[in-house]
Amino acid sequence: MRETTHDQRKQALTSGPVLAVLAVGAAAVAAAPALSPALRVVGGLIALAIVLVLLSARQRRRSQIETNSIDDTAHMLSIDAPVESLETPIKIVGVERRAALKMVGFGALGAVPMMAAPRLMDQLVANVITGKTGSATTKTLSLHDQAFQDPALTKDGRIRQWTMIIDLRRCDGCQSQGTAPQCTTSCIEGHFAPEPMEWIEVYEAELPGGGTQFIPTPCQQCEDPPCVKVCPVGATFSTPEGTVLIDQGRCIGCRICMAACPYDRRFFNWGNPPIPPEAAFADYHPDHQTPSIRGTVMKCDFCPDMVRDGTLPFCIQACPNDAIYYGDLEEDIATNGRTIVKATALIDDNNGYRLKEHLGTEPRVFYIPGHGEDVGRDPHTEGRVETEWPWVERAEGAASWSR
Amino acid sequence: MRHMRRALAGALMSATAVIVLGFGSGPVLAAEIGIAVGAPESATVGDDVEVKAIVTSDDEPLEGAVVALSYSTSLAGVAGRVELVSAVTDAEGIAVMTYEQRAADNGEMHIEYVGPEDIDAAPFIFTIAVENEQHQLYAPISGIKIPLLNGTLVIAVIAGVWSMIAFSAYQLVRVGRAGKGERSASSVAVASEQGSAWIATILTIATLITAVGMVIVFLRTPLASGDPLQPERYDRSPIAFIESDLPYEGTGLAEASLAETGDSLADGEMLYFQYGCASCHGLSGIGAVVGPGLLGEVGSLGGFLEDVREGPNEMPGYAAGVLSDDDIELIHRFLKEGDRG
Amino acid sequence: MESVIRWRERLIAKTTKPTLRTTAWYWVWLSFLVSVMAIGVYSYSTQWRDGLIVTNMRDRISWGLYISAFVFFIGISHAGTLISAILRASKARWRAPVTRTAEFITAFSLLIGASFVVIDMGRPERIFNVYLFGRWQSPIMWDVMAITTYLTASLIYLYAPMIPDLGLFRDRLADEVGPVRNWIYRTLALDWIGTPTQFKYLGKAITLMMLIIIPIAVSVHTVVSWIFGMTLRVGWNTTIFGVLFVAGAIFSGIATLVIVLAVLRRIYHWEEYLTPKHFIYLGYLLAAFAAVMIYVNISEFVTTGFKLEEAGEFAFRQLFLEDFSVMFWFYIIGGLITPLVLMVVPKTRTIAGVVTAAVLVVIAMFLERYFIVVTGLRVPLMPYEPANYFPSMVEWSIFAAGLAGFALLITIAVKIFPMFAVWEMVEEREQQVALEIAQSILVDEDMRDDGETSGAGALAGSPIPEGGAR
Repeated sequence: MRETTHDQRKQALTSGPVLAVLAVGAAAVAAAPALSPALRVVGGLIALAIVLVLLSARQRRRSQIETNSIDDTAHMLSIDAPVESLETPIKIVGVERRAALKMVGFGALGAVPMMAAPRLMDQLVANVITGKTGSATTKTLSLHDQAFQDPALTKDGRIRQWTMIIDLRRCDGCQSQGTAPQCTTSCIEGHFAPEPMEWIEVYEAELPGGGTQFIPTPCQQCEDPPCVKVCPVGATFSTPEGTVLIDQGRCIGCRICMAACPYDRRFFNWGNPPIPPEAAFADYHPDHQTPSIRGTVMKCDFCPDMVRDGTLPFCIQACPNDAIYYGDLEEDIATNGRTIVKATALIDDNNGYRLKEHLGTEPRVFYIPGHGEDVGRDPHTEGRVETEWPWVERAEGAASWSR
Repeated sequence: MRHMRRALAGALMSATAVIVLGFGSGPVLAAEIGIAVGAPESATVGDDVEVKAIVTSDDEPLEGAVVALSYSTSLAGVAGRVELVSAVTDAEGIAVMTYEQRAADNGEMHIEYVGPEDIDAAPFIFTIAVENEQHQLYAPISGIKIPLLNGTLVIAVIAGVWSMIAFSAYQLVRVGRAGKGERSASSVAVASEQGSAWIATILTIATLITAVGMVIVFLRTPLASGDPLQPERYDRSPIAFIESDLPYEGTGLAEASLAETGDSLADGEMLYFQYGCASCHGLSGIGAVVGPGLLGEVGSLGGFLEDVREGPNEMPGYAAGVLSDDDIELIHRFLKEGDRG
Repeated sequence: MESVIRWRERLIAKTTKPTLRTTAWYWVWLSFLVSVMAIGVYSYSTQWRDGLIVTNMRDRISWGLYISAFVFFIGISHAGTLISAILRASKARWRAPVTRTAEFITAFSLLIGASFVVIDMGRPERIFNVYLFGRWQSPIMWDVMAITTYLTASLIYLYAPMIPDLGLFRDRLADEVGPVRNWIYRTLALDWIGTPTQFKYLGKAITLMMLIIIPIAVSVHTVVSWIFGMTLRVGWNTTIFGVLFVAGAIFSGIATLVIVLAVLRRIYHWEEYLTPKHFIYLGYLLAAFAAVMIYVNISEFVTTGFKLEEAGEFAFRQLFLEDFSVMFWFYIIGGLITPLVLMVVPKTRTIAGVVTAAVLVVIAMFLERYFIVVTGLRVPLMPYEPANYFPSMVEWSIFAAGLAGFALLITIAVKIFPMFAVWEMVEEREQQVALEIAQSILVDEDMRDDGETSGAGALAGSPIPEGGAR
C-alpha cells in the first residue's frame, strides 16, 4: 500500500501541474483570435483531451483515497455519508483546484507569482496521499454543515443580519496613502473583478459648503431591493442574512436590474471579462462571483463566505484608516477589524444616515457623515488616485471596456 | 450620555428580579473607586435587562461618575469587548443601565469607571447567563397587504383572456367542420376538394398550451427573498453545486490540519498560507500590496504573538479561537528561520 | 350604375394582381431587403461571438438602440388594433380596405419588436430561463406575457377575417399559382364555402377577438412603459408613462399604416379603393392623437418642471437645451405640431400632406423612444460625470435589419395573401348600392343629382349611420 501511494504521489507531483499548464496553454491557443482557425481547433481539441485526462486521473485518485482511508484509518468509518452525497459532501483536501488557490492567498493573487503554485499543489497532494485525509475529512464535514448549507448564525441559532457602517470621518479616499482607494483595490484583487468594475467605488461628492467628501459605495444591500423586484428570472435574490446576491448561472443579461438600481451599483460583463487565468480555477458561487461570466450582471456581494470563514471582507481588511465596519444587526455588533462596537450605538451616536433614504429601499449600509477630518484631510484637497486592474495584461483573449 | 436614567431609591427596592451579587469584590485600585453591581443571574434573548452599579469613592457614594457596561464577543475573527450602555451615578452613587439582550452569550461582563476623572480603576467583573429563545430579533420591514389583490387575481385575468382567445380559435375549427359537412351534404363543386380544418385545430391547441404554460409560469414563480423567519426557504445548495459536486470553501482560512508534516518549518509555511497571512504579506513573507515583508524580519516570539493577537496598524487581530498559540509559534519559526533560499 | 357583380370582379382582379404578376423591380427590392438583413445577421453573429461589447452600451447607459427599437416596433403594432378593432367595433364604414394591411403590420412588427428583446440580452441562449424561472413580479415578465397574448390574439385576428378571402383565392387561383401557394390557400381556407353556418362561427370569432384585442393592446404598451416606469429613475418613474406610451403607440401605428398604404397604392394602383378620403380620415386620427400627445407631454413636463429636483433639472437641461435638444425639438415641432397643422389647414389635407405628416411622425416617434431610453439612463444617480452613448455600427445595422425584416415580411405577404378584405368590401358595396336604390326611390330627383354619385370616392366617404354587421 505504501509503495502504491508513493508512486501515486510521484505521478501527481510531476504530471498534474505540467498537464494543467499545457491545458491552459492549449486553451489560450484556442481562444487567440489572431491565430488561424485550424490551429485554434487543434488547440481546443488538445486542451479538451488534457482536461479529460486530468479529470479521469482525479477520479482515480479519489477512489484510491477512499480505499486508503477505509483501510488505514478506522475513525473514517464514523462518517456514514457517501462521498458523492450532496447533503454531506466530504471534502478531499488537496486534489481540489480551490484548495490550491486558497493556499496561495486568494486575496492577493495579483502579487503572487504563479510559478509557486505547483510547489504548493505538490505539498497538498503529498499531504493527502500520506494519509491525512481522515482527519481533514472529519473536520470539513462539520465546517461545511455550519457554513454552507445554512446562513450564518449566532451561537443560539439566530440568523446574522449583515450590515456595513462606513465612517466618512475616517475616509480620505486614500489621499494620505498616495494610492488608489485600498478598499477598491483589494476588492478587485480578491474577487478578480473585471475592469472597469469597482464593486466598492469611492465617489467624490461636493459638500454644501464647498470642498468634497469621499463616499466609499458598495452595493447597499437593500432590504427592499428594487433590483430583486424587477429580475424576471429570480437570478438576483435576497438572502436570509439580508444581503442581495446574483446567480450568474441563471442571469439572462436583460439588465433591467441595472436600470432599477438607484445607486448605480451593478455592473455588466459586456465582453469576455478581463480576468487573470488563475481566476478560472475558482469554483463559481454567488457568494464570491468568481470567475466572471460574460453577459451577466455582477456587484458587491458583501463577502458572506469570508465572514462565515472568520475573516472580514477584503475592503475592510485593506482600509488603512479602519473606516469601514462590518456588523451583524441581529447581535447588534460591528467591527472594523480592530475594535468591536455596538452597531446601533455607533450609528445613532454619530448621526448615521443611509443613501437615498427617501426611496424606501432600506439599505443595509450606513454612513457616518464626515469628510476625512479624523485622519486629517482638508475638504479642499480634491481628487484621488485612479484605480488600476493589476492583471489586465495577463487576461488572455479578453476585452476590457470603460464604464 | 445615552440611556441615562436617574434611578430612584424605591426602584432599587422594588426590582425583585435584581439579585445583588455582592459589594466591592475587586478593589484592586489604589484610587479608592469601588463598584458594586446589582444584576439578574440570567436573561432571555430579546429582554431588556436592567443592571445597577453602585459606585463608591473611599466607601462614600460617588455622584456624577460615568460607568460603562460591556460584554465580550467576537465577529469575523475579531474578538473584543462591546460597550452596551453607560450611565451617570446619582447622589446615592447608583447608576441604572438598561440594555437589550441581543448576544447569545455574554461572556465576561464588565462594569468600568470611565470618567469624569482620569482614574485607572479595575472593572467589576460578573456574568449574566443567557437563555436562548431562538427567534429573530431584527426583522426587515414588510409591505402593505391588500386582501384579494394578489397573484390569484392576475392568474384569473390571464385565464379569462386566454380562454376567450382559445374560444375564438375554436370557432375557426367549427368553421372548417361546417364547410366539410356542407360540402358532403350538398354536392357543391368547389375548386379544391382537399381542404381541412387541421390548421385551426393546431392553432387552438397551441393557444391552449400557451395559456396553460403561462399559468404554470405564474405558479412556479421562484421566491426572490429569504425570509429570516423561515430560513428553510433559502437553500444555498442548488446554486452552490452548479458544475461542482463539492462546495466552495471560501477564500479565507484553510485546513490547519494539513500542516502536520513533522517538519516544523514546512508546517509553519503551510500555516502561513492557510491562515491567509500571504494575502497581505505576500508569498513567502516577502511583502506585498498591503502588508510589509516579514521573512527574516520578525522579532521575539512574545512580541510577534502580541502583534498577531492585536493587529498593529491596519492588520486585523487574530483571536485565540481562530489562531492558536502553537500555530503562531510555528508561523513565527517559519518567518524567523525559513529564509532558506 | 355599375352592377355589384362587375364591381366585385374588378376588385378581385385588382386584389389578386400582386399575387399573379411580379415585376423585376420586386426582385430588386426583395434582394435589397435580404442583403440588409444579411448585414444585420452578420453583425449579430459578431455580437454573439464577442458579447455586447460590440455595442456602445455600457454600465451607465445600459440600454440603447435595441430597447428603443423594441418599444418602437411594439408601438407601431398598434396600427392593427386601432384601425381594425376600434373602427370595426364602432362600425366605421370606411375601414374595410385598410384593415388587412393594418393587421399585417401588427403581426409583423410584433415579431420584429419581440426579437429585439432577445437581441438585447447578454445571454440569449438562456431565453428559456424566462419560462423555467419566470417571476411574475417582474415587469419583464409582464411584457413577456402581454406580448405573447397580443401576438397570439393578433394572429388569430389577422387570420379569421382573412378566411373568406383565402377561400376566394383558393377557388380563383388554383390554376394560376404554383403548388406551394395552392397548398397554403387550401390549408388556410379551412373548407370555406361561405355557408351561413360558417359565417356565424366566423362572426363569433371576429367579434370576440375584436372586443378582447383592444384591452390587450392597451395593456401591452402600458407594460412596455412599466419596464421604465417601475424603476426609480427621474424621467421614467411617472404615472403618465402608460398613457404616453399607449397614445404614442397608436400615433406611430397610424403613421406607419399610412406610409404602407401609400406605397402599396402607388405600386399596385389601388387608387379606386384607397381613396383620398381614407388617407384624410387616417390623417384626422393622426391629428387627434398628435393633440393627445401634446397634452400628455405638457402634463408631464409641467408637473416635473414645477418641482424641478436636482436630477430633474439635469434631465430637463439635456432634453431642452443640450445633448438631446435637436431630437427633442424635432419631436415636438416636427412630430407633433406639424402633423396637427397639416391636418388642420385645408390646403394640406391631401394624400401628400397626410403621407408627409406620417413620415414625420414615424421619425419623431422613433426619436422619442430613443431619447426616452437614453436620457432616462443618462441622469447621474451618484456623483459621477454623465456618460455618453451613440449606437455603434453593429447596433445600427441590426436596427436596419429590423426595419428591413419588417418590410420584407410585408413584401412577401403581399405576394401570398389578399391585402384587401374582399368580402367585407363587397358587403359594404352592396349596402351602398342598396342605399342608393332606396334613395332613388324615396328622394326627389333633383336632390339625387346633387347627392353622391356612384364610384369609389362616394363609397369610401359616405357616412352611413347604421349598416349592420353583415
